[in-house]
Amino acid sequence: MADLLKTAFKLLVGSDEVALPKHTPRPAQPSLRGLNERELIQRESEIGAQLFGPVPDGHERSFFNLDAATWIWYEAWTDRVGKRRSTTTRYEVHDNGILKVQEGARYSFLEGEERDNLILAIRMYYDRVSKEIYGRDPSTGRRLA
Amino acid sequence: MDTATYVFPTGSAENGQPKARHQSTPPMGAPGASILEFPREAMSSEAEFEATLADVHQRWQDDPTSQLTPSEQAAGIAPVTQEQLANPVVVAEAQHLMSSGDSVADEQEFDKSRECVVAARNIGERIALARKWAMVGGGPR
Repeated sequence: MADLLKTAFKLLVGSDEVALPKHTPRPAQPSLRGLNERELIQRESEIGAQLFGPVPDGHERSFFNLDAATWIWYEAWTDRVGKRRSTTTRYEVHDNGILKVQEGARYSFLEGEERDNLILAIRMYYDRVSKEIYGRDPSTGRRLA
Repeated sequence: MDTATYVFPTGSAENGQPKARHQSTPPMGAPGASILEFPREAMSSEAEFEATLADVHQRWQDDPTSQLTPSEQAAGIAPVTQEQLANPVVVAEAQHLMSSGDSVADEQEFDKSRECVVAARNIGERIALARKWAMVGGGPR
């Protein structure tokens, strides 16, 4: 996760010189007291990674909301010659569509099935994160009992 | 990467490479506003938080186009008015856009794209709000 956040920040600001928090085991209680934004994002990402079905063995996957207009997909795996590889995709919500930004200066606006899948994932993410992390009804925003 | 393994991302890849319709440099994303810009006093009660969250949701649900900024309207998200149609400069620009291949040619695709932008913004704002509220002590104890 720390590598992912570094990569994400590098994509955003062009530098990876960001002090990232060490990953800490999730506490048994769902208390959010004292957590900073990155720690909250880490919790959300654990849910985001589950939205697309089982993660293949040896793969690491993250999907999370970075800010109000940015979503990040990260995937890492080991290739056939044993080399560790990873890819990070940033989805930016723009006035005229959702821009997909990948490493290597590859940009494209989402269309068709890919766009529909992303929106479905965003809705599922919000639904689960609201309930499971923030203890809120996703429709009303009210605190869940 | 064996892309066939994944449910997502899919769609725009061609021969393993994404489409490159837009090769411009995108605006850099910016992390969310600092917690320093969100003092607890801004929303001092649970009820106030819920009301703010509901307001964000309702604002986007009620009339998404009414929330568009001038730049969004200029980008063609808002419906074209009769006044704009009467303006030859606007019409010429629209015709240029349509012929350049960069516009969304299919009306249904255009509507779907707008719907997705509105949904993503609605949800993005609500998550950001819930996150900030949690950071100032408003989340589960």
